[in-house]
This record gives sequence, structure tokens and C-alpha cells, in this order.
Amino acid sequence: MSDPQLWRPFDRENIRNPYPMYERLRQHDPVHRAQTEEWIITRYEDVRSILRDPKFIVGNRLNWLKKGISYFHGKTLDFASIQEVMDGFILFLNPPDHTRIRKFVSQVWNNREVSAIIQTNIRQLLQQTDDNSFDLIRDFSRPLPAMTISKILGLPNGDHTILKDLGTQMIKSLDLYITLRDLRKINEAASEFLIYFKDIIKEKRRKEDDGLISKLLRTNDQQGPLTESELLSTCILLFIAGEETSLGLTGTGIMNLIGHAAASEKLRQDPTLTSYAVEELIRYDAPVQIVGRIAGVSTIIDGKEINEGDTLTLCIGSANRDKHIFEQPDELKIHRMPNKHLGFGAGAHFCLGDWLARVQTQLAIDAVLKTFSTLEITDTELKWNENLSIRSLDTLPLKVTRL
Amino acid sequence: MTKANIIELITHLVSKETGIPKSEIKGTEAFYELGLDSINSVFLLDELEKSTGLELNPIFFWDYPTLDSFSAFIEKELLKS
Repeated sequence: MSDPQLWRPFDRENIRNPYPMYERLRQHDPVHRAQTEEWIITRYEDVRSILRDPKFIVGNRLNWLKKGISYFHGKTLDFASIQEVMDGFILFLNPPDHTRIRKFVSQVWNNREVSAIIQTNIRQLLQQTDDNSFDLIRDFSRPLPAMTISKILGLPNGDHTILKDLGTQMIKSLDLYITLRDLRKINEAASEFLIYFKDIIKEKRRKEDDGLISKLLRTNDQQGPLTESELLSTCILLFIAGEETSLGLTGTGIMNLIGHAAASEKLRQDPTLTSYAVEELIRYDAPVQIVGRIAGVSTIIDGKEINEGDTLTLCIGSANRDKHIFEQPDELKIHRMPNKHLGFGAGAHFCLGDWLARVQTQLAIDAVLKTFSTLEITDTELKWNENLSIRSLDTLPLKVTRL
Repeated sequence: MTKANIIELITHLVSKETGIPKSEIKGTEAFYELGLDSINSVFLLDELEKSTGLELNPIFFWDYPTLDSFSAFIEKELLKS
């Protein structure tokens, strides 16, 4: 009989800092049957091998949402937009659809000359902030990835301000446990996204530009692997996936650097270290904390019988703190080498935008450390968004000294 | 809301959802045995939020998986609010 006290993801303390809960799970019950019947997997080796094993398939959240949508349809509640948006999200697709769409997207999504775009956005945001205080999340980490991905996609200037809030609403759909209130908000966001991106696609078909959406459309017209609705889903996913996770990474990353003054000082003196620091910040406090899989066949993990169809909750945040892999895992060591964290996943669904997240975070950290000689967190208690899957701060007021 | 009211309310909601007569719903029986799952519990929780004014999370259903334990939990939450 497993101990239900081990999995308490909604305790205030665990939302603030889930790592002690993960440590208890790794130690006492690394393949834990939760009260909600899914398996909570917390050790590095288990998480990694499941991620790389095609016998574990994706789509558990989408399956749940589809069942929910059809159930609520019977209660005359309409959540059809959620399904319309998410049906073509590659993170929920298995082969052969996954292989086909992923191959196409990786082929088109290969313009890595994004540094100039990001630097312009960073400069603009840091110029707008007050000299003595600003909110790292609201004024910087939140708008930055939305501005960047909008520019890459070729969306009209300024539209990111509406879209970024929709992204936050929509990403809640990936969370483990959601309420009817959440479903209503997710559906609203989904239908706004559909209206917006249908218009954009129409617009880009009329008038091509050098943005990624035009390129997707052009290439698809020639090669045609994607249906119209898959194209729409893909455009929406590129926006959301590049946004919420990056905001978590730069926001939480810079917050953790502020809490480790010696590390920040080293980075100020030697910016060539920043790329290593980014990997360590991902490992230490990853934005993607949890991903799901479904057992495609019955199997045994650590002596526990997993049945075909069972849901597995893979705790990436926990795997990254496993002492069997990482020495002193609870210490932030910006020089850590090697650093085989699972922050971007592993296997067939490995993050497609890892390079963008890395460049953006590196440039953001360098710029913030160069612009301000001191940074101090003024809140006594950090305000985390209530999302177990995607970890991010809601706000982070800072007192600063501009150089 | 008294404890008896809370039990009555939850019994009513479970009965309405599952079709099991109220008199047959025992306080010690697990919700999943009564036919509640991760989807209809979301609906039930919303109904319960409307009646109590509380903000509830779906996992609470599974943290307190019987009518008795769940009612005691709701009573405590109401006292806190």
C-alpha cells in the first residue's frame, strides 16, 4: 500500500519548493501509485529510459481532454475549441503522425539567426524599466519570449501583448489536475487563438513575408505533408511552446542567480560561463517539471506492475536532482560538467526549441547582469503560478541599481 | 453549513451523477467504487464550489476518497474561509 502523503503537489509548501517532496519520493517510493491512480516516476534513470522508450506513448493529457470534452458536451458545455487547437500538437502525437509533422517542422524551423532579434527585444525592455525597481517577470521575462517568437513567426508588431496572456491560459491544459473553471478559460483562449491564427494564415497567403509562418505555408504548399488544421495547430503550438517555458526559464533562472550572489559575480566577470550556467539553471529549477506518458504495453518498473494503458507522470524536476547522477544535486554549480539534465526531455519528443531557449536565456542573463550592478528581490514570499507541469513565477519585484 | 448539510449535499451530487439512490451511498465507500472518475469528479467539484463558495482542486477528491473523509475536509475548509 503506498503512502498517500508522499504525493501532495498542491500543498503550498510543495508549490513553492517541490524538491523535498521529490526527494522523499525518490527515496521511499520512486515508482509511486498516486491517489489518482497514475504512477509518479521520480528517479533519473527511470524517467530517462521511459522518455526514450517508444513503448511509452504520448497523449494522455489530450485523451483526458477529449473524454472531458465529450462528457461536458452531454452537459451542454462546449469545449470544442480546445480539441481543435490541440489535436495537431506534436507533443501529443505518436508515430506515424508525429514523425511526419516533426520532420516537416524541424526542416522549416531551422533559422537559427535569432540573436539579433532577441538582443533588440532585450534592449527595448530594459530601456523601458525604471532605474530603481522593476518586476522581472511582468516587465521582462514575460514579454521577452512572446516578442521574440512573434517576430520569428512574422506576427504584426504589438500583437504579442494580447497573445501572451492567452498562452498562459492555454498552457494550463497541460497541467495534471484541472477544474471546470480552468476548462472554460482554456476553451476561451483556444477559440481566440483559432480566430487569430486563421486570420494570420489567410493574411500570409495573400501577402508573403520572410517570417516562419509564411515559410511553413510555402513549404507545405510544395510538399503538402500537413493538413490545414495541422498547420493551424502547429502555428499555435510554436507560439505557446516558445513562450511559457522560456518565461519560466529566464524568470526562475535569474531569480536563482540573484539568490546565489557568488555565481552572479562570476558571470559578471566571465560571460563565457553563461552557457554552462544556463544548463545548470535548467537542471536546478526546470520550467518543464512534469510530462506524461501512457504505457503502451504491460511492464514492470522497479518491481511495480504497470498495466497497459496506465498513465505515468514523469517528474523531470526530480530526475534533475537525483544524487545518483548529479553530485550535490541541491547545489547550484554554474560550472557543472557534464550536465545531462532532462530539462528538454529525451528521445523522440526532445524539445524542438531548445536552441532558442538557450540563446534567449543566455542573452537575457548577460544583459541583466550588465545593466544592473545590484539586484534585490523585495517580496518576502515568491509568487509561483499554480501549474504543476510548467513551473514559473507570476511576479518578481526587484530593487535594482542601474550601472 | 452544518456537517449534516455537507454530507447531504455531497450525497445528493453523487447520486445525481451516478444514478445510485441516496440511501445506498455509504460514508465509507470509495468514490471510485461509486462510479466517479477523473472527469465527472471535475463536474461534481464545480457544483460543490457553487454551493459552498470554496475553491477546490480535483485532487482533493482522491486525497479524501470517501464521503465521510471528504465531508470532514469540506467542513474544515468552510471553517477556515
